[in-house]
Amino acid sequence: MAWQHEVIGRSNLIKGDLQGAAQSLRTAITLLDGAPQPIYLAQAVESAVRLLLLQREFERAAPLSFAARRLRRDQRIPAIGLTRTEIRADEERLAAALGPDAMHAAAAQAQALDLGQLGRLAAAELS
Amino acid sequence: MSDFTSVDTRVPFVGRGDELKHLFALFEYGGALTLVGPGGVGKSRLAFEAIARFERDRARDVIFVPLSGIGPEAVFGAIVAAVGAREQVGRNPLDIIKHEMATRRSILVLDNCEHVPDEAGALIESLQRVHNIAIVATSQRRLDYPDERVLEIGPFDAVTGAEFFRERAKTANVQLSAEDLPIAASIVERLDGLAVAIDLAAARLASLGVRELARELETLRPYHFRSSAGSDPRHHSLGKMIDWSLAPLDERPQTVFALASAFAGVFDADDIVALDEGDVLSTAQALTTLADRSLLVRADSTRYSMLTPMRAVAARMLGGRSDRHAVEERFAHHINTRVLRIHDQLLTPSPGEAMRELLDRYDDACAALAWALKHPNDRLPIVIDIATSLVSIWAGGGRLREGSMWMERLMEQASRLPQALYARLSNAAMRVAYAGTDYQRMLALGPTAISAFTILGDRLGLARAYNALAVASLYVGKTDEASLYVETAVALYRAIEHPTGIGSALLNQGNIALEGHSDPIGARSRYLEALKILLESGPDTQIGLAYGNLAEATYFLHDPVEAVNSAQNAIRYFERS
Repeated sequence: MAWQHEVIGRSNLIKGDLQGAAQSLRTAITLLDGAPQPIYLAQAVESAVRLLLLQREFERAAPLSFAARRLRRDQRIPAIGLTRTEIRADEERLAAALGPDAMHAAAAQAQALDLGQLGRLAAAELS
Repeated sequence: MSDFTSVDTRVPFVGRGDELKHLFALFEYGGALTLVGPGGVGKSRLAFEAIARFERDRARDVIFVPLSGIGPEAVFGAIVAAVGAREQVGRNPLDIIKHEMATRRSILVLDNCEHVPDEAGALIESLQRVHNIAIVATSQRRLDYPDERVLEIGPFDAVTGAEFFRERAKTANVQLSAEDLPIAASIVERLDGLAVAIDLAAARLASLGVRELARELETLRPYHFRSSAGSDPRHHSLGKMIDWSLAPLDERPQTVFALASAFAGVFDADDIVALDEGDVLSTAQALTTLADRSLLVRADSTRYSMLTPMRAVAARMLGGRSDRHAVEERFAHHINTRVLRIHDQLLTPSPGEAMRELLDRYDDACAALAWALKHPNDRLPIVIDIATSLVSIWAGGGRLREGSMWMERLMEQASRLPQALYARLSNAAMRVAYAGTDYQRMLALGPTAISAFTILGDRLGLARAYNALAVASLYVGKTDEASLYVETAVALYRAIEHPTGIGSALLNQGNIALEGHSDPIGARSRYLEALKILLESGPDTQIGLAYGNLAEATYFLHDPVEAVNSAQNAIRYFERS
């Protein structure tokens, strides 16, 4: 179910309904808090990053983006196909907006994160 | 409050005022404390009482983990499950437990840690400074982790022991007079102040009376003795008390007591009968008798459990029986049958109750697997249903490390099995590997499963194996191989007219189109085809998956309205399932 709330969140982003998207993504993350499924958590965080990009909140988006990438690597859940294309586009947009120094700082911030807290952090950014 | 399954809460609680103060301070301010003392002295009962009294004023999340029946490899998995979490690939279970515990004000009780000191110690060491967590460990010896705080729990002194005896007598509807109290004190002294031994003695008060009871115990002299260097004399005391409690009973209760030690958790008359082909009625009566004499604990109207100190003595009795090997084999057969029956119920629309039952049987099931691995040639076939059924816990219930460990050990021996069993075990191992996102392991196991199913002519097994290989191939980037495997799976499922299988393989085909070939149009058409088939006869979960995948494809086709519709349909079916 968390997966589907995340899909609804992503779809709302396409529609331009940022408030509806934030609401659905928060629901997805709340559901994942009780039964963590890393692949859907990674997707929900990536969608939260996209939402923050649309709001031009680049500094807030960058650590989440690196943390989601770390989660995928640690949990052996590669992003493939169209999902990977979307994530790469978001990462490139972030890099272009922030520049290398800010990106390095965000990467370090993500590295220091307890991934067990990632859902809560993403939910806080969405509220 | 958590379910203290391994504590006899029926037994009255007296004294221990200083110990309670230590525990209240621990609960208030956090940290860890090991209650160390001999088996049967009342450590678990003390922890239970402290929590019960503390909780009257403050709501705390109490997590109780009985560790007596489980091996070192299962400790972290059991605790992860007890805190309501699931193991995750690439994540240290200690971190998961820490994360879960840190977010709530909890009291964690690790009961009977003496046989897993390293694991319990490692966990406590990593948690003891986490804010708001209080940990109580009970153990017959120190756990020896850095900065361990130990509270020694000794036997009752004469006065407190006599008070305990009097309170226990009341529960047997026996009122002790003032003249009886010195006799009670002498009984307590003779029983070394050991709570469980006093409880056993008091259980016979109603039939013997206090004076006769004292005389009977007198005959046990020399009661307190030391037979071998370094052994705890109280163990001998308890053994003698149990012998004394059993002596007046018929043969059946004595046999039942020994047989009951085979079970790590709760058991009923049918379980016992399965071990020696005894009579159900006399067994049920024997269980009642044993519970009346405090040799067993009543879990409910038909089920019982055994306290850890009792089990140690009963297990020695069982080990001394000439038919012990036959009993072990019957135990494995019985658990295999029982687990298979429970597993079949997991496939019904309401699997929750069955899953709880399977978890209740988990430690017994692992004991049967361990027994089988000692002589795999003869024994593995006996427990094959256990191995394949526990996948629901390992893969579905998130106990991945244990699942991987068991599957590795089983697959090392699997080539000795007949082809049919080998193939089933290979498929189960692939499911565990899939849950652990270990796609390389799936790819390594796949060919063995396929060759076994081919030899057997088992097309359903083959279809499942090819379908699983398709998933693994997709996620390691071998899209073309994934396509070939899934086409074979679809063809096989069609040949045997297996609609749920066809639907499942078509969903995989869609996934390969979407994620492997970035082709949402092709994916959408596969998902629609799968949905059509599944809507006719598929389970709700599969229909939910079909709608969910359709939502993904539609999203990538930039049709958000249709994507939301499909997602809402998926949610509806997931809720129903």
